[in-house]
Amino acid sequence: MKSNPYTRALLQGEGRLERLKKSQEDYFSELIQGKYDKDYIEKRLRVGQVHQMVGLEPIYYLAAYNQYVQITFPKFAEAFSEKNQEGFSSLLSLVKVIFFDIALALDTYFKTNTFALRKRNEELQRALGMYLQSQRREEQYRQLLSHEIRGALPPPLLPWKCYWRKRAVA
Amino acid sequence: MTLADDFGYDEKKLKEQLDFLEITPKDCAHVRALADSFASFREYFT
Ligand code: HEM
Repeated sequence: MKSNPYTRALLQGEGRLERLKKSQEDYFSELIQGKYDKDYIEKRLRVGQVHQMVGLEPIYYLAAYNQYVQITFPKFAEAFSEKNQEGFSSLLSLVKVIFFDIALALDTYFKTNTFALRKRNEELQRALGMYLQSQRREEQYRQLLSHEIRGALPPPLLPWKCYWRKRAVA
Repeated sequence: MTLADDFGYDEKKLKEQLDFLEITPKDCAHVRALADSFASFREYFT
């Protein structure tokens, strides 16, 4: 993470790397407790949210996860070399819970983005509603104004003309 | 309101997801065994 400029930049800040090391230690320890309940989900979603907030793109999270898998799986295999079948089954189970973990992390990205888009859409709808309402008011006002102006003008001259003409003829 | 609630993770959805990934109690036992038998597990991750 320190060798990549993008991830290195995210790790700058007072004590961040140290905090992250400890957080990840707890994270992986919880991963293999075999207890996947609502509390577990809550913690996982929260991690995803922190990542989103610090601006970590999903690919970097996946790349780091993959690196850990690449480093640790050979060690697991080595440790289980005598108990072949059992070790193999354990690794397959581990892969399943890792996928579950990744699904939760990605869900945070999708859902947070969807929520943000929905919110922006609602704001736009509200703004459009206000704009249309002000347009309607302006139109009403314009009609009212032209009505009043017409009402204030003197009556048309034509009927008077006809009156005088009628009188002259008579 | 928790994040899990916000994201619709009730008991039903949680079970559904575990079922999709075919994570059974046997898998939970497997990974626990992995943690137990690999006492220095943490060192490998840190
Ligand atoms: C295997 C992949 C990863 C795991 C399991 C992981 C796990 C975690 C955890 C558990 C936290 C603490 C969340 C909290 O405070 O509630 C965290 C925070 C954080 N992660 Fe990750 N992470 C991973 C990858 C990365 C990568 C690649 C970066 C890029 C540099 C990164 C950057 C951060 C940062 C900046 C924080 C906030 C740290 C702080 O200020 O306390 N993470 N991560």
